Parts: sequence; structure tokens; C-alpha cells
Amino acid sequence: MIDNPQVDMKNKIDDYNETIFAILSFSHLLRWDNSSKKFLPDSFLFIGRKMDTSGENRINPNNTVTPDLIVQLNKKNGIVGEVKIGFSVNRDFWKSDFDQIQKYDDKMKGWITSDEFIDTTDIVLLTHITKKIPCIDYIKEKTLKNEIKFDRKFAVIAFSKDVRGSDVFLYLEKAYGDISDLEMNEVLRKGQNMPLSRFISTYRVKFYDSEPPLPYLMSIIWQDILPQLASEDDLMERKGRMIHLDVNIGKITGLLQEQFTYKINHDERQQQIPKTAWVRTALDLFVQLGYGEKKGKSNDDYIINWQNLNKSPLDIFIKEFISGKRLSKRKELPERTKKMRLDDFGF
Amino acid sequence: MANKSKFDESVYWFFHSDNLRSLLINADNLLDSQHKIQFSVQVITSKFDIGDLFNLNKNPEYKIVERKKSKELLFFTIERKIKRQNITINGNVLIIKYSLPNVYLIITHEPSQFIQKVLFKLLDNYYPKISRMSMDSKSIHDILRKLQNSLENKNIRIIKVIKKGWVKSEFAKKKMESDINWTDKSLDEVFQSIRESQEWIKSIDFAITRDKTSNNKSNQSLENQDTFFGYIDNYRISRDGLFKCNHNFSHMFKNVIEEIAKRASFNFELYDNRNRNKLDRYNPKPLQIIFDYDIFRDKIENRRLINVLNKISYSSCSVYHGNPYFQASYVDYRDGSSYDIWVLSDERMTIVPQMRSTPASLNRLCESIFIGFREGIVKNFEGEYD
Repeated sequence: MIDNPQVDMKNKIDDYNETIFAILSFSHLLRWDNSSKKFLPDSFLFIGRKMDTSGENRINPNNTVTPDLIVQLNKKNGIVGEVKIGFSVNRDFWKSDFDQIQKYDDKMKGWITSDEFIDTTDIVLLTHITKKIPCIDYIKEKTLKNEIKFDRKFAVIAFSKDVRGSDVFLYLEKAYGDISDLEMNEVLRKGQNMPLSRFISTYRVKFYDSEPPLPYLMSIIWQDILPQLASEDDLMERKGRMIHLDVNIGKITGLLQEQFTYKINHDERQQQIPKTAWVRTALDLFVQLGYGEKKGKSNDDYIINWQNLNKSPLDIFIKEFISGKRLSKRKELPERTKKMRLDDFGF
Repeated sequence: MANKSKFDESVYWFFHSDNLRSLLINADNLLDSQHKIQFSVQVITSKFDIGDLFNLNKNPEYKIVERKKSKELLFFTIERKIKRQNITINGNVLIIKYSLPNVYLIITHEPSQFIQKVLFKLLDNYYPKISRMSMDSKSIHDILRKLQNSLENKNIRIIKVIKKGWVKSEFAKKKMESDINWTDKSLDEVFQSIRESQEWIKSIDFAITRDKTSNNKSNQSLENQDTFFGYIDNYRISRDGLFKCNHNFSHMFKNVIEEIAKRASFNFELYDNRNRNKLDRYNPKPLQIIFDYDIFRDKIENRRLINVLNKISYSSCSVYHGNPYFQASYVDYRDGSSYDIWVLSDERMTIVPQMRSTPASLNRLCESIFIGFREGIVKNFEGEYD
């Protein structure tokens, strides 16, 4: 194998995105009603949601858990899921992953009903198709030894990207177990290709409940968030030259959470993603790489020098993340203009 | 060196027209009497009042003076000092507030130097508040066909074509090839050849001639038919919404300029209000570019698309996935617009405007794809979402 950290980082970003595709495709398959061309009434998707376990929970009683995925199908049925695109090479580490999934084998509280409970909960593990056999082998082996046990319906759903003919699909296939909905169980048993062209671009999701690769988060902040902090008139005037932006970590995190996660029907149980800590790491790296500086003594305020990087921000940030130093060119403003801009920030 | 735009008496009445109707009459009279005059009409779109934008100009390079203002027309003198070349160029323009929303027509009789170095540069400074519209080759063909239908016993003859083609050779360093053809062909002949050779039109010069096979000498649609003998008349339509003519202004206004304006209005409506916003729960409002064949079946085209996106000025593009499908994020540094770009099927691509999106920026992105990659049809995306 070639040891190329840039390729490795690109693969990690690809895995992150593929996981998002899997969550959205699985949820879309369950919720989209092709006859009415709408989502099923009373159906909900939550990516990362705090649920309360009962006193009877075998592994984590009377506590709070945060499944990666909650799909409420109606007021009676729902699916709780965990997404693992890959597993550690060392199977000893798998126990904690499966302990986590078994925590959901419970009458959990937190659904969108009057008493926050529903009648039937299924549990699914979404994993990449290349991991399905080792995963199934492990489950069977541990089930025989009574180390893995589910009282509720449990299924392993394998996913992979697939290109067939003229379309790109996210392929979903039930690799193990069953879900309660017999019709959907059969669809997944046979395998279902979800055509990404029909729906993936309409979701605005760029994050799920797992820390994204840092260059990925930085490129989204650079391309989609920072421009919002500049006025159109300022941008017209600067024409891609450096502009000094006043950045507050809370504001950036809030914009990312509001604009780039699935935040429909959110309530206080909803996991706040991306987390402030992830964003802080990204902004600190911008400072470290020379894209800005901390503002005064505050830990939460920064000045970021936003400018046309000419090349792909993602590629630049990957290279700089790996090398730990700034590689892109800086186009400083003339001193006079720069001072004027700094005056705007009250210096 | 100073270029002084003499305010010729002959054009005085034209620039002092009170309304569109009198402007058309004055323009026709002027072209009939002054054979060296050529009018240029640039169609632009803007949500803003152009008069206000020009009057509030802060760019010291330009001096913009409002000379006259009426309900339909604005008359400005524009001067630009180009320090690097030590020249000053000035000229006069009439701006028509067109009946369709957000569409303006800028008319001038000034030479190309003024149009290129003053007017276009000024409009570019107002990006994204002002956008010069873009038309694809099919739109130009459709407009000229409509003009042809309005001409009884007369034919459009194409006399010059500036076209470009996409170089697809793996070893070519140039991605585009240009071709200027001086010709004398019919409209359909030229466009058929362009379609077959997979090229796109930059501009077309044409003339209108009497159909010699016809005995009918009546002329219902064009005045002064005698002027149409030979190629005395000369018209040019460009894909960036510029039209030039030296004869029959009112006829051309009705049959060509208004058609360009309608397309500008349609595109503006299509590109406007695409940004995700809180009121719409941040729901995306994607567009699709649909191509006439399954171009992305050959995955080398993904690479070509990346090259095109990377070459757009004042922008950058992050490619998250390039093959077999395409997922990228594009940012326009001139106005902060950003777009997700997807290719998930062989004959179309999807553009998803993010939190900031302007018609000017979307027009620039789509036009860059059209001229750099391939022309297609832009449509609203109809997908599976509530």
C-alpha cells in the first residue's frame, strides 16, 4: 500500500460523506412515500438524538444514550440506528461498538409522541458492504456465547456506493436479522439501490454525530460560512482580495448547526452538531496556519483573513493540515487599506 | 490622449427622447439620415434602480453625470480615466427601464472602444448588483428564426460568425479553439453546422437581403426596403446580450432586442431567490443543467468539468469526489455566493445554491460551464423532497 497522507485524508472525507449518504438514503427509503410524493405523515428523521434508557436497560439503565440515527416511521413504530462505516482491525475493540448498539434494545423515551414512547422499536447497524461478513461472523459468534443479545428486532444493513448505467446509487442491503415492517424487510433483503440524483442534493446535511476530518470542516467554514460574515458591498469592493472578518466561535458553530445539519423538528433532545469543540479546533488551525489571529484576550473571538485562495480550499487545507504550515499565497492589502479595515473592527 | 465624445447635433434628439416610442422614431430617423451611425444595445438585469446605482457611483475612475431622466428613460454621460494608458474616454448612453421587471436596456451610438473599455468595465464593477445576461447558441438561433419569420420576402444572410469549440484531445494544452468565419450563408445552414461540430456561438453578424426569387415587392414589416439591397445593413447579436445595428432600429427592437430582454428576464427569474434562507427552513432550491446526451458516461468528462470550474476567475472549487460521481463545493469570491455541484447521472448536473446566491453569480457559473464544458438547458430541479 502507498503511504500517501493526502490520499488517506481524501479517503477519510469520502468515508464521512458516504456515511451521510447512507444515513439519508436509509431514512429516505423508509420515509418517502412515492404515491403522495411526500414524507410519510408523522415520520421524523433525527441524526444524533438524546434518548432516555429505562431501568430495565441491560447495559446502561436510567441514563441517556445518543444513537446516530432515529427514524420515527409513525406514532407507533421507529428505528434506532448506529452507523459504522468501518471497524477496528483488532476485534477486541468491537465489544464497545456492540455494547453501544445493545443499549438501544430498550423501551427508550424521546420519541415524538404525547408521552415520548412508541410501541415498537427496531435496531439497525448500518455498515459498509465490505464489513458485512466480518460483522455478521462476529454477531453470530457472540450471540452463540450469549455475549450479544437483542430482545427487539435487530438487523445489519450493509451499504455501498454503486454506479449502474447512468445513475449513481447508494445500495442498501439487509445482511443480517430482520426489521418489523415485513414489506420493507423484503425490500432490504433483496437489496435496494437508492438513486442519489433524486434526493441527496436536497438534503443540506454535511455533518453527522461524529467528528469530521478537520480539512473538511475548514473548507465548509471557508466556503459556506465565512462569506456570510461579509457584506455584499465589501465583497464587491475587495474583488477576492483579503478581507478581515470578525469571527465568533458561537456564531460560526450556530450557523453550521442551523444550516448544514438535518435540523427539522428539532427540540432540546437534539444533539448539537458540529460541536463547538470541533469548530474551535478548526479556527485554531486557521490561526496556526496564518489565516487569522485571536482577537484580544477572548478565547472565542478571532479575526480571519478571508481571501481568494485561487486553488481548491479543500486541497490546500489538506496539505497544510498534514504539513502543519501555510502553503497558500497571501495577498495582503495595501497598508493604508488594511489599516482602514482594522479600524472597522474598533482597533 | 483624450477621446472626446462630441455631442453631435444629429444625435441630440435621440438622446433627448421623452419615451420609448419617441426613442424608436428618433433612432430610425437617425439611421436613415446618418449612415455611419451604429447603435449598440446591451441588455442587463438588476434588482436595483440603475439610475440610483450610477448616481451613487463611488469609483473615482468613473465620472457619471445624469443628463436627463424620465419615467422610461435615463440619459447619462460616462467618463473613465484610464491612468495606466493615460487616456480618458467618455460617451453617452440612454437606459431604458424595460417593461419586464429587473431588465434594463442600455443604448449608445458610441464606438466599440467606449463600449469595451468604459461601459462594460463599469457594469463589471457593479457585479453582482448588475449582471450582463448570457444566451446560449440555441437562444440566438431561436431569436434569429423569429426575426426571419417577421421578414416577408427577405432573408437573413449570415456574414460573420465567431464561434468556439471545446478541445477534447487528451494531449491538448488548450481547452478551447476559436474560429472566425467570414461567410454568406443562410441562418439554418450556419446553425446546423455549429450543432454538428459541437461549437458555440460568441457572436453572429448578419444582413437582411431581398429574396430574389420573389416577385412580391411589397414590404410590410420593414421600412425603406431599398436599403436592404446588398449588405449595407449590418447587425450583430452576441451571446452576452449585446446587439448592434445600423438600420431598422424599431423593427430590430421589436423582433430581436425585446426577445433578448424576455430571455434575460426569464433567466433572472430562474436564478433569483435561490439562496437557502431561514424563512424556507434553509431548504435548498437546486437547479439542473441538462445536456443533450449522456456526456458524463465518459468519466474523463468529470476531469474536464473540474478544469473548467477551476478556471473561473475570482472563484475556487473544492472537489470532494471526482469519479465515478462528482461532488464539489464552489465559492464566488466576488459576492460570497457558494454552491454545491453534483453529477449523479450521465446527462445532467445539479447546482445547489447555499446561503448566499445571486442571479449574477449563478449566471456567471452556468455561462462558464456552457462555454468551457458544454451548453445545456438550465431548469429548476424537481426532486424527492417536501
